[in-house]
Amino acid sequence: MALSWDEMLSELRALGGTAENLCLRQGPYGRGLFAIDPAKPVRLRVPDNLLLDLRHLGFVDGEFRVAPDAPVGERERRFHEAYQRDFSWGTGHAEAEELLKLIHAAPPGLRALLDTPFNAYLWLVEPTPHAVQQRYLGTRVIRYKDRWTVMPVVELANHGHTTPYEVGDGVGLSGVFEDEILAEYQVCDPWNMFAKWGFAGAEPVAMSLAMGIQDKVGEIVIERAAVDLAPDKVPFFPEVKTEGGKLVLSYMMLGHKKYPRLARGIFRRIMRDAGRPDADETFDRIQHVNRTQFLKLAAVSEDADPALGRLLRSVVRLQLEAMSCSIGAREV
Amino acid sequence: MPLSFEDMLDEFRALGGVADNIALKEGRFGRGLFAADPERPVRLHVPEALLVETVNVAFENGALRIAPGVAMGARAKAFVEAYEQEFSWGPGRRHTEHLLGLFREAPAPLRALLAQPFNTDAWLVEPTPKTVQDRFIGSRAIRYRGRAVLMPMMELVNHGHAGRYETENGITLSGRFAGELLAAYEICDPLRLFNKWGFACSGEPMALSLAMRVDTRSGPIVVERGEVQLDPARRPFYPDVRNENGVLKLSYLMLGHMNYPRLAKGNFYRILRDAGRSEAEETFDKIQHVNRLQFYKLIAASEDASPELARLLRDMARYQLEALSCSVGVREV
Repeated sequence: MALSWDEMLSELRALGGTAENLCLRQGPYGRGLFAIDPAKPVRLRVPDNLLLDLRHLGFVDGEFRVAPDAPVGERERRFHEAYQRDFSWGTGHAEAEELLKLIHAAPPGLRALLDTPFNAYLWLVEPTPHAVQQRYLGTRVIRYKDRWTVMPVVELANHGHTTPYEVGDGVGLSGVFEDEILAEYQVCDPWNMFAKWGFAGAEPVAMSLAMGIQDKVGEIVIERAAVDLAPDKVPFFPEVKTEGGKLVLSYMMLGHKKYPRLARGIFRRIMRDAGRPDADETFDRIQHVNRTQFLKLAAVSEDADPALGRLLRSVVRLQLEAMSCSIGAREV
Repeated sequence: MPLSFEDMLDEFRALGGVADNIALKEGRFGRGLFAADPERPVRLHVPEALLVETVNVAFENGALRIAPGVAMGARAKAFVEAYEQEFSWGPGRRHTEHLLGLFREAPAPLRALLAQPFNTDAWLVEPTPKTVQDRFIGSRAIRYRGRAVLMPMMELVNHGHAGRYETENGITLSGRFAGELLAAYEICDPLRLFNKWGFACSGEPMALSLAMRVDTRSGPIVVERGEVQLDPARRPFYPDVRNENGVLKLSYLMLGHMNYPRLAKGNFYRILRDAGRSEAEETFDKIQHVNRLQFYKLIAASEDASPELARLLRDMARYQLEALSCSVGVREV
């Protein structure tokens, strides 16, 4: 028999979790978490005993199952399986399946572009039951104590910028939320959001695609590593290495809605430190190459299924909007 | 009895026109003119006697007519009217009417955006017989010695960059054409081509700024969307610049060019330097940014239009953005 929302939360609490002032409703991003009383604080915490390592999860006959040898109590096992059946995998996997099918049926030109230079390989697999399961779980995990774990209930929060995840003694969300509780999945750009989670999100920042570019001195290699916003670092300043004459940047910010002078400022500083000339022209070229690729993707998406075409064009537009936010430069 | 293309060419030649090695075929832009033998040169010449000022065009019972008092021979007049009926207004009006209908049915926010800042007013009118006629004529006219004229035969040439019109004693297009005969209707960007002729053209090398005002610390700048004059005596793509009561006015502003990617910033920096203005780099970035955002907004709004109009608008916006992106580095102007 299916668990109700309140029954599920009662069981979460009984297993050591916290869930206060929390409800599940439809919002602008589909189903999501809201405060029952927006004037009061929300508290949600999933304890360690309910944060299951991805390695211990599997599927039997299309049903989510915790592996028999998983280091987890019987009640926790039952909670996970019932939660997944009634609130997560059971009700939500159709979306991942549909997107995999749409991309699988996309014209070869579009698929080739999604592969290179867009690296959307996670969505380019055959939509088998196994692939759908992997894609579904891949979009619902969090790095916790050096493990990838599923985070029941917390994973129902849609992406946004109203709160970060609280990671430490368990995983949770808290605060006062006038509207939907939106958790920042990761500091990344609209393209990364799509490539990992499969949706179009209006992010403030745009990073360059992974690419290599030649300047008068040698090659500059730009990677697309995760952004590390450590407080002791200049924000959005990538790791910079010189490898055999190549200048390697772990990522490169091309625009930011809140800091429009920062992208060029950082790049000028990197080039100055590396003794490279023509920073401005190289920055313009990298921007141009990126814009050209995204405009090409928008063009090719015109021939896709209408739903996929619209999704991709939205992602492209959001990426280009953030990328456009490079206006002037500031000293870094 | 309907004129065949060959009959029409015979009459065109008899009236002083030249049409050597010309064929009418379907191409990638729809119906267009091609070299009958691509190995041989083409020459198409419309004599002045067959150019009709648009102010002298009228419509009677849905047919295009030349006004009675016009100083034009009866045979030439009959030719132009027959030509229009069989090859131009007759078959082409439906496309104009259809396009006006698509705009009319577009969602209100999209229409508002097209009106401002895109100035697509010519396509936002009610599709009545009169507006269809006006739009059709507006999209077929060319400037010849300061007058807007219709140019029978020549107007079958689609827009492109394979050839150039010569305007000596009529209008001429000549040369070797591997495929379709294409000629630049005007030196302009994808948006202006769309606003005037109603099509999205890929490969336009240049993007001009939307008309706008930008306030800077050293004073306001007004960017207009005037015509590009490529007079050899002028710096290429350098607009007319005037200072009106502290407002710096540019007749147009090129923001990117596929063949000259360093020129857009170079021209702008020079204009600001000459005007004693500061912050040229940031102001240029800001104008680029405002332009890009408007086209992104248009792409978003077009998603709710009919699929045909949406695709047309998105294509146009993308072509404009491609050209706009071609501002890479700067050169001294």
